[in-house]
Amino acid sequence: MIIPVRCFTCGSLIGDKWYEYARRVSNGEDPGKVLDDLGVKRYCCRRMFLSHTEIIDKILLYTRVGEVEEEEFAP
Amino acid sequence: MKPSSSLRVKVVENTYDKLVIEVENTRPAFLNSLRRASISEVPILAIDEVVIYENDSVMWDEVLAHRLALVPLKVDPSDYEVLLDCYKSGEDCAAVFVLDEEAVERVKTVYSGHLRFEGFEGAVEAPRRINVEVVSKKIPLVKLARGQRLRLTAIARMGVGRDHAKWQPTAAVAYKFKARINILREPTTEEAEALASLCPRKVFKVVDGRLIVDNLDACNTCRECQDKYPDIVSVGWDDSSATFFIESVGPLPAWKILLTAADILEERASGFLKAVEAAIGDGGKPES
Repeated sequence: MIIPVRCFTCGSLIGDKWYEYARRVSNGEDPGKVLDDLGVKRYCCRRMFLSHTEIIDKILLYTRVGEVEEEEFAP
Repeated sequence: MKPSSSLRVKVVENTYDKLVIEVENTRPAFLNSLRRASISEVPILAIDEVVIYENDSVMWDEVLAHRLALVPLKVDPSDYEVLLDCYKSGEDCAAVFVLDEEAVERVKTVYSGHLRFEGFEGAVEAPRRINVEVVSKKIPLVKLARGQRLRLTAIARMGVGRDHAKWQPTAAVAYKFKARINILREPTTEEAEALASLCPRKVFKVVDGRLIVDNLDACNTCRECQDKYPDIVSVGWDDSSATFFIESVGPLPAWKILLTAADILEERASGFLKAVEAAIGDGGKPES
């Protein structure tokens, strides 16, 4: 859904590094080198980045708050 | 371990996030109790209760509360003692945070930095105001689509890692015993070269055709060399000296976590001693 706040295994903080990682990787940088740069050293934390999909962006497309009035749902 | 030898400590690295020390003349059990106490017995602040007034986001209240709880919170090490006393006295010392964000025009990411610290509620009496802040202001909590709103009050309390991982002040805490490499016989130059390149940690070096141990601290006793050349090297370790690593998530400096853990162990041991003394004072006989 959205990047986890901490590494599942060791508990170190990873959430705050995601957007920089995503930006740099989409600009064509090597993911491994970006992670080295960000100081993500252990492989437990590295897989958190490598295997993550930011799917919340897609879910946001299907929200309807503000578009539908409450009365429309009334029986 | 000789009975006369005493514990020696050398600091290798000491930053806010990480402490590396070399310990000599110790025992694995002692290091392990320090490790375990650092992970699960040092109380820190973490969000424990969330009152959600409005949550239009795509994320469920529970998931959001869980994410909030995992956000590490930082206090000044000198203020920490006040909170620790409060925790030990069993009183409720709660730090209150408020979050009120709305995506007005476009999609908005709500960050940990949007949490506003309101002050302490309850029994904390400090000579000066204790300030609690988030370790990193850039942790994404949730994304709001246009028109969505998030309004909540979060209450942080002291707790220990034993109860929930959100109260765990450390990331990795580990120790590594000092490797002991014996070169059993003088290898030929060819063998020495092969052995040196075999080692994944580059522990060996060949100088003038002779094999020497160049970087003993890098050795993680994988015994690749011993498996291939059992007649030349033997690898073991000395469990009375070790390198101890402790890595902090941010609520306290790494050294402070280790010292607090040691204090807690000491308190527990003296408590045990008192209990035993009291029991023996009662006659020392087990109830029949």
